[in-house]
Amino acid sequence: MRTSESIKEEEIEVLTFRINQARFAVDLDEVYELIELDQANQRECDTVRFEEEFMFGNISIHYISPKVLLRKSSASSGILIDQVSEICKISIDCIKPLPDLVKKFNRTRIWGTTLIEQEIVYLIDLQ
Amino acid sequence: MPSKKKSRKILEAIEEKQIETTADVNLASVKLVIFTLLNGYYAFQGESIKEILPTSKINVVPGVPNFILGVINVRGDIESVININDFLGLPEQNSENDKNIIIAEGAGIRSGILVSSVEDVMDFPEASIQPPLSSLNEKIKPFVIGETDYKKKNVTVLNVQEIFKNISAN
Repeated sequence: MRTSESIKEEEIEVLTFRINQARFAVDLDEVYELIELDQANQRECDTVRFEEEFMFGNISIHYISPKVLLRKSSASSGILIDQVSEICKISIDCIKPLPDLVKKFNRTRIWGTTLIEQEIVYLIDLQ
Repeated sequence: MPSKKKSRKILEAIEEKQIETTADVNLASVKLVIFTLLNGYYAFQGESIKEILPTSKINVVPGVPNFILGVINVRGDIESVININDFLGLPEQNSENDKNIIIAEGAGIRSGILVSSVEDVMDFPEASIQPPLSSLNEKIKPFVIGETDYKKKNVTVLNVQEIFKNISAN
């Protein structure tokens, strides 16, 4: 089996964090900056809660240690994320597409999964 | 500006790697995986069943319908786990008592199905599978292949393909 030639990178660097019990990761290539809440207020940037921006349905989430993530694609508006844990490299071979049914019914911008320390991590498309 | 999103490219690359050819298998006998849901006995035909697992921690996936309970890590592969009670017209079960996850494939879908417990996997003579009783509830009827006996218990034989087809048509 031939691998696609359109992607040359063997690994991506991701920022991981937790919302509720679930662990998420975003590609650092799409991240502009990670700032504190009061910095975001000083800069007067609009901040949207993670679950609202990524359409996780009607759930109320209590944030424990919120931070604001600024995207390269729209650096003036921030996304509230929680419990930022680490930046790590993940091999592209270790990224799995979502299971069939989840892919079919998923309304969020989760595009794949990977395992970090045997824990399931959802990859989120920031753009 | 890149023409394609990076995530899209990565997905395409890994999906291409996953394409496998599946061979058709002709089975001489009917192998049934017998399990319980609530208090009833049910069975799937063996050829659609890939694996039987003890329940492990099911990770909730945000933004999916309730029947998708979440995903599990099976030796590095991520499988979904669903509850089929509602599709079969059964009341929602208390999943704390469920002991097994059956990994099944059919209608282009692969998923785990949470069941109370898997009782047995055994070969049945084809003649032992009788047409289903007409007293079955309307919801379950389209999925029933027939009925058989196991340890003097009535077992409803279900077609996983039809269940998956119905789920994905939702």
